Amino acid sequence: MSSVLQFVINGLLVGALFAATAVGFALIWGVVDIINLAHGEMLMLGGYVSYYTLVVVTGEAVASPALALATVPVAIVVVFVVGYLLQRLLVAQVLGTDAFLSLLVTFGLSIGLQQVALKLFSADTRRIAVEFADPSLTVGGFVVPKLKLVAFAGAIALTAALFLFLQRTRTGRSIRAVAQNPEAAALVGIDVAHTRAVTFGLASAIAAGAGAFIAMILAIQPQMGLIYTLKSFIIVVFGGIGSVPGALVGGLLLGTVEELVAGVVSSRWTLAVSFGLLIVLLIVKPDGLFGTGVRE
Amino acid sequence: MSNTTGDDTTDPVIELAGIDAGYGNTTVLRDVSLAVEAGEIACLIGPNGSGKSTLMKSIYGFADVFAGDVLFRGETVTGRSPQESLKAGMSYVLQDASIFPGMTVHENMLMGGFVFDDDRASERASELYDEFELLGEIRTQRAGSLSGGQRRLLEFARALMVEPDVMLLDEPSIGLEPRYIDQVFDRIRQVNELGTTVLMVEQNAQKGLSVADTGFVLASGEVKFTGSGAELLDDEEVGRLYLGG
Repeated sequence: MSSVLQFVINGLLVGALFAATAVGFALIWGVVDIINLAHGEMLMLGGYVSYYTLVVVTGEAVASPALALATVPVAIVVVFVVGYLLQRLLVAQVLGTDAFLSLLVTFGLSIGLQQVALKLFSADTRRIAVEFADPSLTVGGFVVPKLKLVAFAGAIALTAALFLFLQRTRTGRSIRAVAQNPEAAALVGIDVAHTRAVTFGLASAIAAGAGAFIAMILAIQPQMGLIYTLKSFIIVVFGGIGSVPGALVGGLLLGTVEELVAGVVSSRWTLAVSFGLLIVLLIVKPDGLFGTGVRE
Repeated sequence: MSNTTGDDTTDPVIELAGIDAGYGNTTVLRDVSLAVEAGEIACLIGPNGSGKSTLMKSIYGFADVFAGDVLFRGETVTGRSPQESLKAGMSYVLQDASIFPGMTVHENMLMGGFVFDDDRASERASELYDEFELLGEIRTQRAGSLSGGQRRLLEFARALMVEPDVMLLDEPSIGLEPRYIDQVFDRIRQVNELGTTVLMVEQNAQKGLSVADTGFVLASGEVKFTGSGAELLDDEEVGRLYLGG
């Protein structure tokens, strides 16, 4: 029983990163009205920006927790700009046309970014080694790796910040307005094209933040993005399109299920179980856990 | 009354000079000219598919103008964006539902004042709640849960957030129960008496022309008749062809 609880703790810690990634995926789906198959590549880019920021500044990929954390905002800002420009220059050209075209464009973008990353960074995995004097906490007999705890807190903070940004700021209100009724948004003076690009940038930036944490707790490589796009898809379908709380709960749950399956059965079964759950969910509750979300 | 498009009005606030307009590769309006004078209520009638909504969208910036000019207060504004139209003093109530269903009534009102800062938008919303008491009472309700009449009222009040010089109203009575229709037209008259020029499209042609200073009959993308509301109501040909009698 205690080992099962340990898997649950591990799952929740990793699940927060899935959630932060999926929140951005959900936001683009809800506001820009496309399924962004290159979302995982934004996470990958975030990881590399974080890694190389550290290497350029310190000359090595080893850092104290504070220094490693300082690279996260750099990844967020850089990938925000990348996301904004990609939406404005590429994705916007196919909006309002056949949905298949936007899928094709983001799929092409995904492949293109992977190839650029392979050329620039090689296929070798990279990792930021974060040095803790004592790497783990023991709470009630359960082991909690400090670095995963930091990544968990960071991912939750990113998700909460996005949620508050959407609810409390003027730009957040314009994003919600475009999600609910783009024509009415233009009617009241919102620049819809700019708002969509900001949304794409924000979603990419959140994924980049998650990627920076993944570079610390796991490893990064150019072709890592696809799996995070697929996980995001499962989570968004589970939580409801455009719902930030839905994506958060979905991410935590997916992380827990995957850790349990990996720990109790085998890690080879994690994806099969995740997609099995997706199929069941599409049959039983196709609107997702949180129903309509920001999109009506 | 004339059956041409020319109108010797003075001081038009909106003027269309021989415009061809539509969407993408599709031309809906052909060589349309009309003028709306400052301070009047103008009503555009015509059969379904005649291009009435496209004409309104051409003025506001939602449709493509392929030829001719759109003038606002004598200045050419052809191809201007909706944001620019709003900032210039125009507001528009669409025929289709244009509320934000996931937001409250108050948030919808604030969105109507998006071009203002939040304090000014809140102040203006409070002023409008005095005029539209029902909206004040349901201000915390989700807009998606409102009845059709309440939604239309919200859209109308929201369009007043910017204190527009010109209001474009596309089918203000569409989908409303009869008891709400008179209220909507009373509001239109009130707003006009306060100095706002109104250009509306109205499927209920009798009702629309009865409150209009000027009427236009649009058919097959062209203006066929122009005259005062009363003249068009009395015209036999207009009555036979477009007023069901």
